[in-house]
Amino acid sequence: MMMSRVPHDLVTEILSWLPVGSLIRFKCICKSWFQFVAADQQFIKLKHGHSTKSNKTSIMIMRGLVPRICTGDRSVTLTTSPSSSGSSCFLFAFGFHEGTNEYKVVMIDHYNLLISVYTLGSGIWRTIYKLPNPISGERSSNNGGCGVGWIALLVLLLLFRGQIQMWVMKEYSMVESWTLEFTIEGPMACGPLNYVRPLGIGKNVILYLRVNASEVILYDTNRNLFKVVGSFVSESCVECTCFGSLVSPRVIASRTKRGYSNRSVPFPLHISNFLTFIMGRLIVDVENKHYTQGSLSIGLEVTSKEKNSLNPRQHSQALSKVTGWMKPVFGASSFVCGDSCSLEDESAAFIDLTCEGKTIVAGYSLAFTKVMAREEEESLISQEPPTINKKEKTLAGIIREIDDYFLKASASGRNVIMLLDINRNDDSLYHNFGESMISAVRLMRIEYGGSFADLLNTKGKILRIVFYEILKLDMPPYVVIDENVTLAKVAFRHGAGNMVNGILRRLVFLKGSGASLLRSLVHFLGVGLQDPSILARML
Amino acid sequence: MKDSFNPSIEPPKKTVTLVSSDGYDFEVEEEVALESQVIKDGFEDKAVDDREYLLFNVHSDTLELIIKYCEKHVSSRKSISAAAASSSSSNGEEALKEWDEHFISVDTNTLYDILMAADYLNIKSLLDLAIQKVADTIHGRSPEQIRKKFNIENDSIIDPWASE
Repeated sequence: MMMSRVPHDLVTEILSWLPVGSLIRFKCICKSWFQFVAADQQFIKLKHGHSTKSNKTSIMIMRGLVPRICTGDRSVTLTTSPSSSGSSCFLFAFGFHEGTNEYKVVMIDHYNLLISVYTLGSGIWRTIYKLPNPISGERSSNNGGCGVGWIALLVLLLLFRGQIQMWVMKEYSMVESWTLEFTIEGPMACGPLNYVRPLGIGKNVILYLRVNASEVILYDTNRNLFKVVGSFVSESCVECTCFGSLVSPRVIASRTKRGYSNRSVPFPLHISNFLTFIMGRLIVDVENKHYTQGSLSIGLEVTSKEKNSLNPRQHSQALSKVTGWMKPVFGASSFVCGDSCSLEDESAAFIDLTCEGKTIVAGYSLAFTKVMAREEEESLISQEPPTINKKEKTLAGIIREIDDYFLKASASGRNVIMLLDINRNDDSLYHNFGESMISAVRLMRIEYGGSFADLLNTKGKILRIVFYEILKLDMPPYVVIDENVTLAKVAFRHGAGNMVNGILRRLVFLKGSGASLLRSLVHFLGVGLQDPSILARML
Repeated sequence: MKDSFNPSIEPPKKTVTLVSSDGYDFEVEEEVALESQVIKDGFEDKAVDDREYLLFNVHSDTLELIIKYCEKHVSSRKSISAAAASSSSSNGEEALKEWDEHFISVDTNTLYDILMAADYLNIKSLLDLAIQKVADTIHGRSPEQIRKKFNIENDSIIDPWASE
């Protein structure tokens, strides 16, 4: 099959149907593919359309006292709308608006019957669309509850006198365009619940969550059939749904600083665009007592058969909860989480991985209170690394281990599942091997390497990663350089990008020109970049 | 379809001749040929006895498959609408989906031929099917495998394997 003979637009079309994880990996196949994925705005839009059109759920919903979005490297605490103070009837939804290419947060105040929209990057709440007419006559909170979702369009699900009505805002910001899509009646619709939340809408199918009963229900509008696809017990469940996109909310959000509060930059973590962004589904289950101790458990979908080999004590509960009600809904389809959610100021959970049917690259949960404080001071490097577990592994040790895992895995070509929880007091590194994801090495290194205070600190993180990739993993240099220069720009001060660029190009040049220097470089990498001056001399 | 559809008084079926690149003639019903948007465009302008299409880009093997696909889709569309009219429940759509799935499960070269032919003839549903299939086969492979599979040259700045 000669792909080179396939017309350009067909290739675009084919690629746009791939899950984000694969796309990112395929950047390195050839230049034209790289162009598509990295730069082509049309392509990104096309991809977005497909992600949201597919039956996989396409929104992220957050619930909590403080509306807050974590977009990988930083969390955004949204300033609460002034009109909302004093009232507690809020619901939030998060979604991507295709028309404007913006991420938006919707807040519905169903006491005052208002809808506010926050556009990521703008930093302000904009009021305010009135609820659909028939409803605004009555206080819906008296009769039931409502849920709001953003599933390509603004969707409102109302529990209203024992029936559920679904309203859709067909045209964004047009109050007149509220349309009653359908009404669900029957015993499943009502019941002792305060409100319902739309999770996803497919063709003739709506998936919603009964919050009180903690049940996820699939409703087939054609046949008027209900199906409970799963339930979960925990009351304090924060749940969010994500979808694949090549547009990182971080990029959008970083257009302006206004959206950030001072304390809300918990992550010195930087993802270059290789993991942008989200697909699938992530559930964070917060046990209150654990939470106050500063720990979170995260459940991930693990479709791999090896899930039993995960430490049962730590993760099985969360995992089974997740798999219990996720898999029936979504099948074992593509699934990349790149987003995160946060619960309160001091705690956040972050997941950043690929799991396409059978793959999870890495999942980890962090409780930041300690680690974060240190990292924020950018002093982690000079201090002793925090104790990870009983074995007292150091950060460096963990990084080494992770590297080994991924390298082994990439050699074997099998699946990788790795769950890492640095806050627990027992064994914290679990893994299964599998399909490799080189980027994960970088990710983990970055994550655990601290705050990136200096490009040439004792660990030389970015450079080491790149060296790995160029020299050991033989990734195409232009991809690596591109990603890492971006990374450096994000991570460091101004000018770092240029510096990295210079060094890397030099490296590539050297690699092309001869072997002996290369060998010494590889050897050098083996022992670590202890001293930047060595590097400088070598290049 | 007309309400007064009656097979007994149906006029003889109009046919169209499709000629493959290697010179084989395929006589197909008009309806089937019209699945292709390319044939449909300008179909009315052509004289009735001149309905012959030379498909320079489609080999007879592929054309046969494509005709099979179109025939199946035309016939099952009829049966689905008939079932809907008589309000009897049918799972025609699901069956068709299954059939599609089976149909497109072919080797890479055939898939490629189908893809190109569907693009050339502009048969939307088949094109989508083929595209989806290609995407499925790609997904989850390593870049190296993809390059091999699709004969893509690694045109990165420096070929990591070239120096060896």
